[in-house]
Order: sequence, then C-alpha cells, then structure tokens
Amino acid sequence: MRKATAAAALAVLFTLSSAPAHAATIPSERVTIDVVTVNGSGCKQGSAEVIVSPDNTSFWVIYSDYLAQAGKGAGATDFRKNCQLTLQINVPQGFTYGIAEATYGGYGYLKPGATGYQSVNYYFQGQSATTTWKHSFTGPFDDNWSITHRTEFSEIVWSPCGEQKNLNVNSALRVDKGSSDANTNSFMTMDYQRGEVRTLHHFSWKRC
Amino acid sequence: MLNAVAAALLASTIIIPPGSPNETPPPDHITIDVVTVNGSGCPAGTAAVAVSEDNKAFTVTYSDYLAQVGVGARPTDFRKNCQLNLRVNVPQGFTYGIAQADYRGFAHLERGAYAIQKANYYFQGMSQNDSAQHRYNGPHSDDWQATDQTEVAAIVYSPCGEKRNFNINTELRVYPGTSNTATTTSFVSMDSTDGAIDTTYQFSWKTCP
Repeated sequence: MRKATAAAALAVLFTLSSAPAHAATIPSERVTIDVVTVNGSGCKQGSAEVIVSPDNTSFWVIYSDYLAQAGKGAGATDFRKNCQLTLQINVPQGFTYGIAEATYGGYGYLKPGATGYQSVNYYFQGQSATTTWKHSFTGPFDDNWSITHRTEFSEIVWSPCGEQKNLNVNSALRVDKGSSDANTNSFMTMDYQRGEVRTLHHFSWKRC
Repeated sequence: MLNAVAAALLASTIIIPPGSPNETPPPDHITIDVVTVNGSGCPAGTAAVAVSEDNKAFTVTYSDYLAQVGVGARPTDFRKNCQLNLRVNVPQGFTYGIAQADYRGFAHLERGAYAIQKANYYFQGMSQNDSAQHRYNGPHSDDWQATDQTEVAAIVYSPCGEKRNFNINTELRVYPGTSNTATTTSFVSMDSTDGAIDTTYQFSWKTCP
C-alpha cells in the first residue's frame, strides 16, 4: 500500500512538472540544529549572542551577563540564574546514530565554605520527562571552569522528509554562601555554551 | 485509505485550473499559534516563544517571572502573572483532545513560607473554566515542575474549520506564613511553560471546498 501511495505521489509530481516547479530542498543526511530562542534570568534580551556553524551541526552561545552571586552586595534572589535554549533538532528520514555533545564554561570565585552549582535540564517540548545533570564546585575556588556532557543517540524516523523536534536545554548557576564570611562575595559566571551533533551512521530507505 | 487520499490529491491537482492558489486542506487535528504573552511576570521583552514545526506544541521561556516576599521585596511582589493567548485552529466536525501544560521553575522558600503556582484555562466555546494549582512548602530550595491536563472539545460546522481562543492565565504567589520576612527572602520563579494539544479523535462530516 505504501508503494501505491508513492506511485500516486510520483504521478502528482509528474502532473506538476510542466509548471515551473520550485525546487524542494533535499533534507540533509545528518542531524542539524537551529537555535530558536535563548531566554532566562541569566540571558535577558540583548545579553546573549548565538553563533551557528555554516553546516548547522554546532553552535555557540556567548553570555555577557550570566552571573549568580551570594554574600556581600548580592540581592536575595541573585544566587540562582538560568538560561533556557529552545533548539530545533532536524532529524533525517531513516535510522540515525550519532553523538551529541554540550560544553559549558565560565568562571568561579568561591570563598571557603561557599558552594557553586552548575546544572542542566533537558526535555523535549510537550513532554514532562526531564533529564538533569548537576555539578558542584567547593570553595575556596578561583578559576575558570568547564564541563562537557556527551550522549549517544539513535533515532528512527519514518516520515520521508525527516522530522523536527524542539529540545529545551535549561542551564542554571547557583551559589550557596554556606558558612562563608558574610562580609565576602562568592559568584559563578557562565561565559559560553557550545553544542554539537555528530552523525556517525545514517541509513535511509525512503526519499523525500 | 492512504491510496484514496493520494488519488483524491491527484484528482484535485488535475482539477485546479492553472494559476489558482493551491489551498492546503485543513489538518485533521488541532493546531496552536501563540498570539500574545503578557502580564506582570512577563512584561514586553522578557518572554520568548518557540512553536513546534507541526504547531502541536509550544514553549514560552521567561527571564523575569519571579514572585517574592521578605528582604528586598516590595509589597506587591508576592504575586505575578502571565497570560498566554493562543489561537487554536480546530478542524471541521467534532474534535476531542487533551491539552497539556508543563511548568518548570525554581523556588527558594524559607521554613514556614509557601508558594502557589496556579493556571486558569479558558477554551472558547466550552462553558466551564478549568483551573489547577500546585503548592510548594518551605523549606525548599530547588527546581520544581508541575503538569496539568485539561480536556478540549469542539463542534465546528464551518467546512474549513475555525479559529478559537484558548487562554491560559498562569500565576505565581508566595506567602510568608510563619517565616521571618525581616531577615529572609522567599521566592518562586518560572523558567518555562510548555503547552501541547493532542487530538484524541476527530470526526468530520463535510469536506472543505
């Protein structure tokens, strides 16, 4: 039955071929990413910049004001900041296997007794299930930090022109002043975030 | 059935005279567009909207949706709201579906304080309002997540379907309770709201010309 549908679709194409048909874009043979939105208390409008690679397989987000702080000079709600990215993941038709990688980096300045946390929640739009990664930094700490998450994935997509799904990536920074001297300040910044999808195997059995 | 659909598609392609706009038939499921996002918790420039490719789901992220009480908070800061106005495209016939909303955020609540996350759902054409609320009690200093589901049903006679309003009014509140607001601050913030409508069944009795 699928064959018959394909034949009919082909017939439609031929019927139209006399008219100047606009060339449909052939879907990529690999997984690509588009950054749809960047927003949160750590990346208010105008404070983050997005750079996407020409082949759409990786991106950078550069932050200018993503800082969580506690202690002297900090407001009561400043100890936690977040930034949520909505990414459109374009998956080609067929079976795809690859590796997704995310790197987060910034600076930490933590007094003895203070603790810093960097966490990330991942979830697909419309789904309640959330995956969380969490890392902690213990004061005294005064250095750059960077963390990489790497996940293997496999996808089977039946729809001939591939599938788009929105992945939400919500990162957060948190600083607990703990037993640190109340007259001091501890902070964590996120300076950049990088995401990449590497397609290692791809088999397709239909054509868009 | 796929065959018939393809055949019909083929037929319609042939019948359409050259030059006429090629109208896309309405889908057999509900789709959503986000029209406005506004409220004290999401003033202009603080919310971002991402709608899925198939228009069945959306995500709103916030940069300044935070309710607080205690040190540093003004008296009116304990309650913030954000109203989402959605345009829902309903196909012709009778449609029944489930709308789901996921709320995610962070709360820091001192012992004795508590926070409420509440949402009111109004779907044009349905008589009753639906509302749901979730309560978080201090001490709590962590992420929170809440999920609501509400039924949507519609009878649409117009052959090409109809656009209806779906309004979701979300709010965050913090109450100090027995906590000491002279020395502490309690707050609740929302990072994101996700909405999705899954069409469970759909009967149509007319075809869009």
